[in-house]
Amino acid sequence: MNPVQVTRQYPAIKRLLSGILFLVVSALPGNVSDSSAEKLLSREYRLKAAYLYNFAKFIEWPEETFPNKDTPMTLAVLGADPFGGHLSVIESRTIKGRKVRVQYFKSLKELEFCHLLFINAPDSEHLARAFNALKGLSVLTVGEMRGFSESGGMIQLLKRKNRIYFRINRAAAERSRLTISPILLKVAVQ
Amino acid sequence: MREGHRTVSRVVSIKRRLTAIIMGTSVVALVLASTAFLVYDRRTSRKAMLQSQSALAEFIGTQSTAALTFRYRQKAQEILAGLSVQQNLLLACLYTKESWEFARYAPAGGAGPCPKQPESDFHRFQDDALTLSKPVMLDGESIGVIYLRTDTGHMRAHLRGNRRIIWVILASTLFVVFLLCSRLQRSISMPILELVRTAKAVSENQDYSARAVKYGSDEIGELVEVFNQMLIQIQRHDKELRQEIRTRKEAEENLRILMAKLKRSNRDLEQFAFIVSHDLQEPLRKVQAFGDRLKNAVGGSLSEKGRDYLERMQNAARRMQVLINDLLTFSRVASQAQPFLPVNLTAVVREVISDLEVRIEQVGGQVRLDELARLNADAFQMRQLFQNLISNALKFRHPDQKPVVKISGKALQANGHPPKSGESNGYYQISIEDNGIGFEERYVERIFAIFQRLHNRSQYEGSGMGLAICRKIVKRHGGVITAKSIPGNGSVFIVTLPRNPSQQEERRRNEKTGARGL
Repeated sequence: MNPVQVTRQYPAIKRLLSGILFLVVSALPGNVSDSSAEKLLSREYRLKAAYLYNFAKFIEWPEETFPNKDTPMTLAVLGADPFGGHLSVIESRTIKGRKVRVQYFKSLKELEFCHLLFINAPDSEHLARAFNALKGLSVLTVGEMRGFSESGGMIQLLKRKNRIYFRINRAAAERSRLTISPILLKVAVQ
Repeated sequence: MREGHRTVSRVVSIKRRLTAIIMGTSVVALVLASTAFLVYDRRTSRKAMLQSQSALAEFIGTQSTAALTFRYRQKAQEILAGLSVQQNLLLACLYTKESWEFARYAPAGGAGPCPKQPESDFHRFQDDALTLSKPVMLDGESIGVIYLRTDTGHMRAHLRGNRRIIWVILASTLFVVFLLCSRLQRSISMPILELVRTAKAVSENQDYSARAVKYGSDEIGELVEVFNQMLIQIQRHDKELRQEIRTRKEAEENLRILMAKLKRSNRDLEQFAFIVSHDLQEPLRKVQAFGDRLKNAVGGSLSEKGRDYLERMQNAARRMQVLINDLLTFSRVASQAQPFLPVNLTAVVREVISDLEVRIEQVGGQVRLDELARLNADAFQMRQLFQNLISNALKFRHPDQKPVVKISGKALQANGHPPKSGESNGYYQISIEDNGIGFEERYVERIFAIFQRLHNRSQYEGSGMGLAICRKIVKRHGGVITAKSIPGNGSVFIVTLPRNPSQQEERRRNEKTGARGL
């Protein structure tokens, strides 16, 4: 059997919907209630929050970014928070044996060191300034703006046919001494 | 011949048994070793296969972590499709942690659909396939299950090949063992065989000079040495024994020749005596007859002197008649013997006493007879024996005493002890005791010899043959006669007779001596 046959067996829409549903259930803690009528947007960002959490599992940070064994894995958002609290849910979980801490930075002035930074910049100028500020730091940058990876971002989230994909700028990650697992690279959009 | 066959077959069986023991042990050892190896081979092969397939499952699982996490089914299919290089793989399935089938790889000719509910961590060799599943781990967390089914045909072919090699090795090893064993068993069986052959040769040919060949200094070699030592001793004893036998045979032969000579001369003598006395009777009767006629016819006309001469001549002729009669009697003891029959000795002796009654009365004597036993004997000769002995007792009486003769008997065993009641073997001893003049015991042998006398003929008449005849009769009966005496104080004649003299003995004696008497 090949993948073509699988798609033939299952109608495309049904497959997509069930796929999204699985992802939500698997990626997020079980106590997140899905019973109230959520907006499709809320659902999308819940998924994206799960992506951020899962990316961290495939990335190797330099040792000095964890001064001691209790140092938490810090995930942060720069700019307006599009996750609507879904990201904070991750704080109860661990990555590579470390507790997860979620931080929110309204502007560059507030920015502190974090391991993964979701950049939600209003324009490319702000984005360039952010990249400039992060230069030389081992911070994995994630964003969903158009041209994010081309302008120096490491992982850009994409949305095609209601499905979320991601693109990786491996050179940018290597410049920041971050190692991205080839397993992750394999599933990234080229 | 039958003995020989048995010996040979026994040796063959020793050979066979040695071979069987060695072969049996080898077969058991080799089969055990081979089985152990095959079991080990099977286990290690399975272990190796399980390890490689587990590693493959883990590798594929790890490769699929991102695809599983971000639920890119297409990517997962691509990763599983990479398994096409695994030739023996029949089926590979990837499940989410909810056990939903997420991706599958099934090459053409591969085995059926993925199982609905896979166990997360197990393996099983079944239906010529290894089925195993492993959890897919990410950051210490199980995010799914990878399931592989692999054809074990390759491994089984390998095992089959090994098995075949083992059996070939086993068969050829056993063949070589058999060859070696049938050669090496000779080191044990050949010395034994050789020993048996030597022993057989010795016992069949009485050839004690044979020696077994010693092949080694082990126990069998020792046995051979001891055997040879024994042969040396036997040989020496045999030689000594043969020498001894030869010496004895020679002595015996000499004795036999001497005996034959003696017997012949004895027989000749008896024959001579018989013929002579028989033939002498005829002219003697003529001398007596014509002497009587002469006396009757012309006795009155002869002078005193002439009558005296005639008287003397007639006396001499009478004495000669007695001599010849005694001689004939003596020679007839053997020649006219009667077979041994039960004889009542008491009755015999009574008859003798009644015959001698006149003489007993003449001398005023007395004969006392005890009850005697019944014996197997020649009745006529018994009569002669007692007649002679009693006559002698009366004849050699003391001039101043009336003769008293006592006859008594007692049973004796061969060893001289009184026998138990009812026993018919042993001897019977008869004593004839008198109160006569006796004799000096140093002459005891002489009185039994022919023509031997202790006294002058003028004192006691007689031919000197009486006791010789007695001895001959007793001898013929297988008995002994002897006498004891003190001069002037009487004498005792003791006759010891076997109760049951052997008829054969007697017959043999007859054949050799008596029968030719005439």
